[in-house]
Amino acid sequence: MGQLPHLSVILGEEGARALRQRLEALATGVSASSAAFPTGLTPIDGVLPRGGLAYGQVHEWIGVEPSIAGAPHASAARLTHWAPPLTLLLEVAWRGTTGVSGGAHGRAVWIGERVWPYPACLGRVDSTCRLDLDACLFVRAPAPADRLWATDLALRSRAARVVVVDGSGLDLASTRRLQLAAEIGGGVCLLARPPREQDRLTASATRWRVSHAPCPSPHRRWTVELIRCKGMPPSTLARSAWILEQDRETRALRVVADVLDRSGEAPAREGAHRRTG
Amino acid sequence: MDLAHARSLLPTRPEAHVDTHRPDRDAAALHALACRALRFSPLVAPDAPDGLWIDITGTERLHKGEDRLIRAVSGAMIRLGFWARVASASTYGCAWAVAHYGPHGLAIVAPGREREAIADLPVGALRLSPETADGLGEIGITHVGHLLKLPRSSLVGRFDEHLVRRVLQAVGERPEHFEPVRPAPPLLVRRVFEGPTDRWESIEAAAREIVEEFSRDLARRQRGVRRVEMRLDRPHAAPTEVHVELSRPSCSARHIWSLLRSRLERIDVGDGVEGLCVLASRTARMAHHQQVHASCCNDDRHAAGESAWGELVDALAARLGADAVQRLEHAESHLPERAFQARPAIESRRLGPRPSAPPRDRPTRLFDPPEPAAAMALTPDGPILSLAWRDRRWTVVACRGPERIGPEWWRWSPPAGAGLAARTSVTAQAGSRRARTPAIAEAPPDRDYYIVRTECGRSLWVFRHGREECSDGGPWFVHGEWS
Repeated sequence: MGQLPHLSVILGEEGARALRQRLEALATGVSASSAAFPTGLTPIDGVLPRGGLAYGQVHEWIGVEPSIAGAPHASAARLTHWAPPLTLLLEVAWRGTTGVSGGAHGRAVWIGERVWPYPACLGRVDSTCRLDLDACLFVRAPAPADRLWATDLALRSRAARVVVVDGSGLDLASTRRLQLAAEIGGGVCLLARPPREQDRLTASATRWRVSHAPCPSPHRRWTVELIRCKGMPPSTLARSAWILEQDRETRALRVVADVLDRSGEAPAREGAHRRTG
Repeated sequence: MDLAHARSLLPTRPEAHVDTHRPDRDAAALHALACRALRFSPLVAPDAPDGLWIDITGTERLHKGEDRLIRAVSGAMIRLGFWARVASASTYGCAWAVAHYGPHGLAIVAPGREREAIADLPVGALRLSPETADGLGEIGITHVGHLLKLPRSSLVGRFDEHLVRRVLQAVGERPEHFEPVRPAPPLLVRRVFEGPTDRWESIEAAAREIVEEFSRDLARRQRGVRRVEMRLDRPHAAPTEVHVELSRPSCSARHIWSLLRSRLERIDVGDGVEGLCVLASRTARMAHHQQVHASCCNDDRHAAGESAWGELVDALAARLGADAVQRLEHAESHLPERAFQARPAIESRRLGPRPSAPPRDRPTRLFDPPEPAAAMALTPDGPILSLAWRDRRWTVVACRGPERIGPEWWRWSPPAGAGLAARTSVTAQAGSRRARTPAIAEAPPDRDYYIVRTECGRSLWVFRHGREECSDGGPWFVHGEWS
């Protein structure tokens, strides 16, 4: 690092700063140059290292599963049907396209029919925040290899700010490739994965688990757990679970509670993930 | 009238709309029109400022006679939005005179009757400058007939050579020529090998080279390509063709090559390739823009983003197929499954406007088709207690609804006998529409949608057909889920 002032003579201020950031990124494993966008959910942003989800990274969302583990047919249902947490993905994708400044509107690519949202949900009811249909591209790619290729291309092209992809059947090497592509392109990759694959290793920067939360209130609720985050101490991670509620009228999401009272088996599963991830 | 005068005539409120006259653009438009008229004859020339020469010698037979030909010319101009007078004659001068000053909008002058045809026209019909025409008027020569009656020798002595030439050209005693337009040759680059080769490296290198040449050609002409074809000539076999479509015009060699390359790689070259040819089958105008280092202004960044987006769409469509890369647009329907329409993203057309109706609470995923389910309720109209769906029984803790969604009423005629006498015409219209597009004769029943929350927290969108049509309430369906 002591040599770097000389570099600024050769590379100019701009070049030297880029090189410094690159070196820092190599040292810490977290790309310092990429900014982060807030999710808009204040308690969650408060926990995340840079106050939001970072651009140039892969963020993994493990699909919605029923929160009652002991249901008789739960395992069979988990094998056949899974639905990505589209409500949350839509919110995060919208925040990602809006960007840090909130001014420039980026575009979103949805790869894999499973993650295509019903377009009526692209905006909130009050139309304050909406992804424009014009700014969305929907790509059908049933084969994992095609999905991987398309995602890689979309991330590298810099045309799309947010790439949402059905990540079922992708292995560690594939996600590493996506991580590299995201770093190069500077976009954000939201990788939706089925619950049955949650024990597989991936190269994602953050990993979230979303499940339905039963509640008596008239609004829809989900439990969101942050189960892996690069550069976050385990003690923080252990407390990172929230209950989200979607307002029925406006479709706005908000955090209603931190999940502190876990059922007996949850901490054990948590520990297992930390070992594998 | 000059602009100041025109402005003074206007009352104050409506501001004068001023457009500068651009003679170069007029000339370019006339040239383009001449190129379009090449279908009538290979020899066409623009006659500035507002005319076209078409040499139809011999081509009238292709159009089944001169009469039909000039009607076709006139019709083509009208379709393009121009009002045109068309005349045909044995000499250019006579045709010009009759077209500009003749009594009819469409006229044919029979061979040998040129003198009669132009005799009654004013002298301006001889393509004279206004000064010459005024000079002739001062000595009492107002019509072409007066000039024709004068002895040829006195004509030569008293007037300038230009007038004499125009008179002689009009009556066919002196030849006249024009320089025909040459349409821009099609954008095509070709490379022929010395002998057939099946080495992929050679073919690839040659293909790459011609694509680069092709893109330079495009840039020079300020065109971007929308559809490129590449043809591989093979010995003793039909040439193999590959083509790629682009979502927006591009002249980037890198982009065109990346699209073509993936297609070329899949070709079986067999006995080898003798030559390569790349051809633009559809192009669009693309203005030059200055290449700037880094993005310094917002416009450039926007343009760069647009072109990157187009390249992404093209690359995805080239590998996955045009139908696999879609954009969605709003459709004119309130049925949830028909409210959006998918279009291939490669068609670069603007999406339709957003509907004005306020968005309702809709699920994030719609099942297509709706999945059958069985619901249990205490009373026929009461809230649902449990739902059998996907081989499982779901206990329902909350049920909200119904929201009634009717069928698309405009697709079906009203039931027979229900209409009043005053509505006969409406019924007749609906009946005729149905005759054109045979649809289901009977409108499907209304649907009553409920939002149902299960014990484990899932929210489902279920419906059954409205009770007016089905006495037992009909089967239940799950149409969507909030995930």
